[in-house]
Amino acid sequence: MSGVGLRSRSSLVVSLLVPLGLIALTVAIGASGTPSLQSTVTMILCNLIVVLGLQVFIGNSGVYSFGQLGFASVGAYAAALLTLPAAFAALQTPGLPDLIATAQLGPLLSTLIAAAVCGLLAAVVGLPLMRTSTLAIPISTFAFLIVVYNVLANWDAVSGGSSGLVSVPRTTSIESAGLWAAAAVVVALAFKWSARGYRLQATREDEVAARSLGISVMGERLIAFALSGVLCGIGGALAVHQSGVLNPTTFYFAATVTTVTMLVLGGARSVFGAVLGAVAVASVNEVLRGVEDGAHLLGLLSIGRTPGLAAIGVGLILLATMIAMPSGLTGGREAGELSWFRRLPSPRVPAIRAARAIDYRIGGSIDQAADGVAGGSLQAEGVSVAFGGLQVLRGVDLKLPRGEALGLIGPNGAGKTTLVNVLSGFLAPDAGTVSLDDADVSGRSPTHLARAGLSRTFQAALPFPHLSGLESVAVGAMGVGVDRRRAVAVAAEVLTRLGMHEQAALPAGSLPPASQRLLGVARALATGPSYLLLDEPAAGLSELEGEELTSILRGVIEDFGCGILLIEHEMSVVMSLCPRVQVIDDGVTLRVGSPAEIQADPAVVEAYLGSSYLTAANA
Amino acid sequence: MLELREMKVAYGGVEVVHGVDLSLAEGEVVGMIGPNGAGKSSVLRAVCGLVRPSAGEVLFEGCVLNGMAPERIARLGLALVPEGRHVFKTLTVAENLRLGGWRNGEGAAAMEQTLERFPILGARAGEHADRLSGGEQQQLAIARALLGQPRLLILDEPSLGLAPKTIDLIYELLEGLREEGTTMLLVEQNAARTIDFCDRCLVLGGGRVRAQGGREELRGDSELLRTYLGGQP
Repeated sequence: MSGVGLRSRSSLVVSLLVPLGLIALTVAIGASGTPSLQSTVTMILCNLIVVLGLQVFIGNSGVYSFGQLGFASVGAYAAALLTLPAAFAALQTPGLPDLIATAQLGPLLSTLIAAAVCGLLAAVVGLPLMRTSTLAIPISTFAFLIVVYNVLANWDAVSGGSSGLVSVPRTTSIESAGLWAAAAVVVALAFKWSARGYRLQATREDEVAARSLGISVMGERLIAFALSGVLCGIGGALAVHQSGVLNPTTFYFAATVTTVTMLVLGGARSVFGAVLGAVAVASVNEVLRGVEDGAHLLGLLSIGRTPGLAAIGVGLILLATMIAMPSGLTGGREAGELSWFRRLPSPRVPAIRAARAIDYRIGGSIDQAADGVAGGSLQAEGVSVAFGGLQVLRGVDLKLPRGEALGLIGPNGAGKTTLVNVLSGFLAPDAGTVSLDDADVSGRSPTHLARAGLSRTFQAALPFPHLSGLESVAVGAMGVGVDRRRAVAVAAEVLTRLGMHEQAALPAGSLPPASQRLLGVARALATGPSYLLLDEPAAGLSELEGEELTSILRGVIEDFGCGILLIEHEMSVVMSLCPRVQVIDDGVTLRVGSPAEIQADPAVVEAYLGSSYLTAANA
Repeated sequence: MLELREMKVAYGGVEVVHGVDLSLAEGEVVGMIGPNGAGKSSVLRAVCGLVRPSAGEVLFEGCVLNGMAPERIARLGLALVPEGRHVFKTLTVAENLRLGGWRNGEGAAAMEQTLERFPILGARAGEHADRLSGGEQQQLAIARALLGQPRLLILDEPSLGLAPKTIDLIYELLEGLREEGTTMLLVEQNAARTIDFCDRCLVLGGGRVRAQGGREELRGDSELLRTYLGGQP
């Protein structure tokens, strides 16, 4: 499987070199200018590191945090206090412990310590914050920012209070800021394209689908939150060593708005977007600020003093950009994915069609699929569920042995999907038990069940729209702990088997609906499941495609020995794949039997198939 | 009434519909069938203004629809019953229906007529739409579209995800609408059913019209159907 990657080498190189080149260009322009331009550009680079910190969390999780500047603030204070000359420290921060007051560390060590402090703080603060819901995180992180501000503004003896600190050594050169920024780009890209980064991106694309793959939403967010804290802390530390002054408002509301704006303008999902947004907004701002003080354009037009022009101008440009390019300047794509570079080769997935079984002995829980309990089964006993006053399931039993396909049919609203939700841990039953290979798993989370070998698809495809087909499927394997390289190999094999290798490089969101549904099947298969629950995989497929799907699923059962529970209204698929079919109606099991028995049962015809089905079948 | 001239659709520079011609007269029922990815949904999306055609023209009663916003197209009298139904889930059935007719004044008579046609909706008028089964939601989606008193009803896979018996019911309702002279454009996967139901069908494949004709012509061409649709017609 060597040679299969999530992106081609040239695309990867471009994605890395273009943002680094932009930083190098910025440094070069700044270094050749006046001292005042040099310090301006150095500050832009420090801000850029903070924006990259935002990108790591916001871009990959899709959740807005308005608290990250709190970490920049803490990083700046930590670095400042560690480097402040003892005489100034005694004057400004009399309450500081001697050890810190007299430390007078060098710029590198103080920056590293500031980064570590911020990383730790973010991990600790994130522990409760990341437990809050997707909608609550922007508010709870904002509250954190306010807390940081108030502590710094009022802890006079240690922080210098609201008047802040002066005479901090100005040790950040434009070159060192550029190097730190370049390192931050590499870190942000490496994180985004790591197995962890992909798992987090999956939660951004679709939280429910990600959980079904065994991904812990809270855990993945927490790690990115901490890494983001580290980068923001570094940005803050470098910034204070550039300006030499610091107060609690340096990294507060205004800086939060500016940096988030930079990220959104560039395209939050993209590291290149973060770099481009930061440089573009800062450049426009500087130019307009120059004009604010009065300027002559081409010697013809003379403009008087226009205070406020910069803020208004940046606002208007932002508005126009967001109307014309709602996903930001980069559209959320990395440099190597932009259409300017469309001629770059796509990652190739070999076109072998079902030539061999997927090697499932590739690590972690995936081994279970091949070696696990022979004769195991997924079982539900007496499952009952009510929504409000509506009894949806009343004491349903179900048994799915490994290596078998069980069809689950019934009228719309009979409770089929509810039963799958119970089996896969998305819904706790009011009564009854679910067991997996004889272990009671009632009420366990979808994440737990996915890692134990149970995978599912959804009626709505729930694609990861911004990830490619190959990435979407690889995330399935990453979710259960397979490392990145193996995950890609598994994904390539699964896609090839499903005959989807040609679509592997396209964004999942651009595929037709039925292909998205099939991609969901591939994603679930990549987790190496012992049991696979499929909710209407053939919906939207033509009859020919339905036949193909049937033979693919038959191959899956034969090669992997997993049990398949198939909810499907397309009777030709159900009847040809499943030796046993269970019919449920109005929350109870109406009948379990062979396809022939089911089709001949008058009660099933009455409740589900309808008389025209009989006519057609007999014709 | 509706006319497509050499209409093409592209997403991000990649063309998926390569010039489709179609004309639909008042009172006609026309279907589009073809495999997954043939471009059927893209044609509907372009007609309804959800995507701008990259070339060609879409005309409704002589009025060019290219580039017009979806809501303006809807106001001209094209009603889409979308794939996946898209009912307003947290509103009641009655509220959903009221919103369907919000531009037609009080419309008490129209509402009464609708509830007569869809008795189950009357019986469940006070319930939240997400409590309805898939078949009931599909009826609600159709009823909501009808309350806008459309000139042309566009249905995207009305049988998707429905039990066989429920599909029979939906098609009985559509048959009733057809008898009253409702003009319909229908996209479906089930080729046999669509060919039977429609006056005329277009078979799409790879973004082009591969064949078209009435029931007898298409049913006779079993090779074509096998190639593009599979199964036995």
